[in-house]
Amino acid sequence: MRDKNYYTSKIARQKARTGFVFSIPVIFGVVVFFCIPLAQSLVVAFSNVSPNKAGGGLVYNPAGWSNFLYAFTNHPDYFRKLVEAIQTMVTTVPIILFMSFFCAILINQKFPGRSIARVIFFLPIIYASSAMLKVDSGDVMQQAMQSASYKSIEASQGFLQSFQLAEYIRQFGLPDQFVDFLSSVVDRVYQIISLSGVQILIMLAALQSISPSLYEAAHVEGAGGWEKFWLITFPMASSSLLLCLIYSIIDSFVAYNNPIVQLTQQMMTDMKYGYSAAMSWVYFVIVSSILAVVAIIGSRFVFTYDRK
Amino acid sequence: MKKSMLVELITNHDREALYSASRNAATKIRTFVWRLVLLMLVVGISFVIIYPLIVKLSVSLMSRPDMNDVAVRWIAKQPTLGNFAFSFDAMVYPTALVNTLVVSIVCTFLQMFSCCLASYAFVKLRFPGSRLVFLLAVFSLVVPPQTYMVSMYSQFLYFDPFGLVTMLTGKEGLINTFWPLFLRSFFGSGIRNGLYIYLMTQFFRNIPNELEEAAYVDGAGPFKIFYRIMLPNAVPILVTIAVFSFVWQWNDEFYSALFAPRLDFISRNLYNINDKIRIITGAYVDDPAYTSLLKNAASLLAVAPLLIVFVIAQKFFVENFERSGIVG
Repeated sequence: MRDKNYYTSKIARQKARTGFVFSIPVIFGVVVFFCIPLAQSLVVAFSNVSPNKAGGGLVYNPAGWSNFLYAFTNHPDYFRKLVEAIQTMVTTVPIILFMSFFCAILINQKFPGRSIARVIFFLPIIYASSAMLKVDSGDVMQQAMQSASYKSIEASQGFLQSFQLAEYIRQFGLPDQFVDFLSSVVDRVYQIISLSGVQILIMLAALQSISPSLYEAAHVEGAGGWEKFWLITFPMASSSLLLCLIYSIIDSFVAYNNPIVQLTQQMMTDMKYGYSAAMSWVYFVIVSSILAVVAIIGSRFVFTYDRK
Repeated sequence: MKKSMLVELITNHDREALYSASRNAATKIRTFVWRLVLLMLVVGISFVIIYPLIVKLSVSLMSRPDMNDVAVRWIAKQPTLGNFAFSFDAMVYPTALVNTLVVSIVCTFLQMFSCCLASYAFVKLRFPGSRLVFLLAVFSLVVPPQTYMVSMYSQFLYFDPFGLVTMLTGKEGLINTFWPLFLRSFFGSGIRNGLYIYLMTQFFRNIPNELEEAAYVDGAGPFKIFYRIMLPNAVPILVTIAVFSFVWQWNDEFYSALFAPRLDFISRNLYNINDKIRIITGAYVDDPAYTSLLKNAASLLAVAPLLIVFVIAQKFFVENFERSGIVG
């Protein structure tokens, strides 16, 4: 018995040692390329940075909370952009989640031409990049091409736009905000699909990992497609849904076209390091707390197998 | 008596046959309608995805007279490859392509190497503090890199351990070389490394412990188990991560602009295509429509190599995506 204990502890020690050796690069990277720069930016957030007149480099003078105060009280639109960033996240992420789940279910079905459809659905991963979006924004010829018809003024809104649809729905007497939301979803359908490549992939993997025997058993018990979806597919994919939710939130907060990210980058290039760092840190604390809340609430509703 | 029973039996049988036939027809119609709806949805979404590419292709083939011609909508009357040729020069395409290829390929391999080893260690070879390192690595996803970009920049601007860099390259610091990108990838801080580490740990978590316990009993060491058992199993997830890593590296504009502002990269030159066009023509092109033709040609040129590779190897990629076993 003693021998066996000795043996297992020896193996355990060997494992731990190898594990440490395996992760040396990542440990080094996390400390040097993540923790240290982050700590430095925290220092910068609490200091007044000015170029050193005598020698080269920068001088850091402690400034207390003044940078943070500036961000909220003096800066013309920091607060507004903060609200805008969160608002965009709240309105876009649910749609992305729905869209990616829907697409994953679609391409998980059997139909002729499925392999082509799968290739096409993965295409946005490849060509939706920040440079591409920047080039496309405000492109004259594309807008000219997309204005569907020269006959009616309404149609000059464009091909994938929903002006007429919005007008039509408005006639039902639905509230304006709802109609605006709906038509904005339709207008941004390409943007939404281009943001959900990774999520589609994760969802598809989740759908395929559901054991077919569950569906067979449900079929024998007389369950229809509706019950199968809500009682098997949805709970079994729920942990992946949570992962996608968190990933989409992160994606929307660190995206290059996020107003706050753009603002802090602009202030950085204008050499206003202190303000920029303070703004980033406020943003970053808000984002982390939103993520923490989502993760804690979400993990309560997620179905998982009991792993031993 | 006997005869009537027989008649009853036959009619019963007929009724049942009739009933089941109608039921079959109903299910057939239902599956047909379902298929039709499915196909329409798939075709619709595929169209939305492909549409921008078609527009780009159509626009970039137009010549200058075409864009003012009301009759031309999709197909140019005088198609030209001139826009492509112009954008090819403006983007410094050959140099940019080689640079981008080198950086993307090397960074992909470095990222995969460090992520794979570390993720395996985080799941199966726990050591004191491994949980903390894992959390920090994943957490780095949440922080926009803009937050600490000045520190990152100055790290590499004055990077010179033991004076080695100056001795080898004759220059001070590593800015305007590939090294910052390579080093960051190798040390697990490249583009979206946290995501790769997370996906890999999910994958290794799903591999049963019994598999390696058997190997330990047979006397194999942790390293041998890793490359003889785990690595062959991990091929699908590695391919998936490699595709992401390569594509994001290719499309990256932020890091290459930060660390190597003077080198040509495809995505970077596409991002600054207005300035690049100005360099060639000597002045701003005053015609937004003509600029638009050039921009569309440039963006097609930028994405073409990726698209070609993906379409050729799509079967391999998509199969591996699906077997990658990422489960949240």
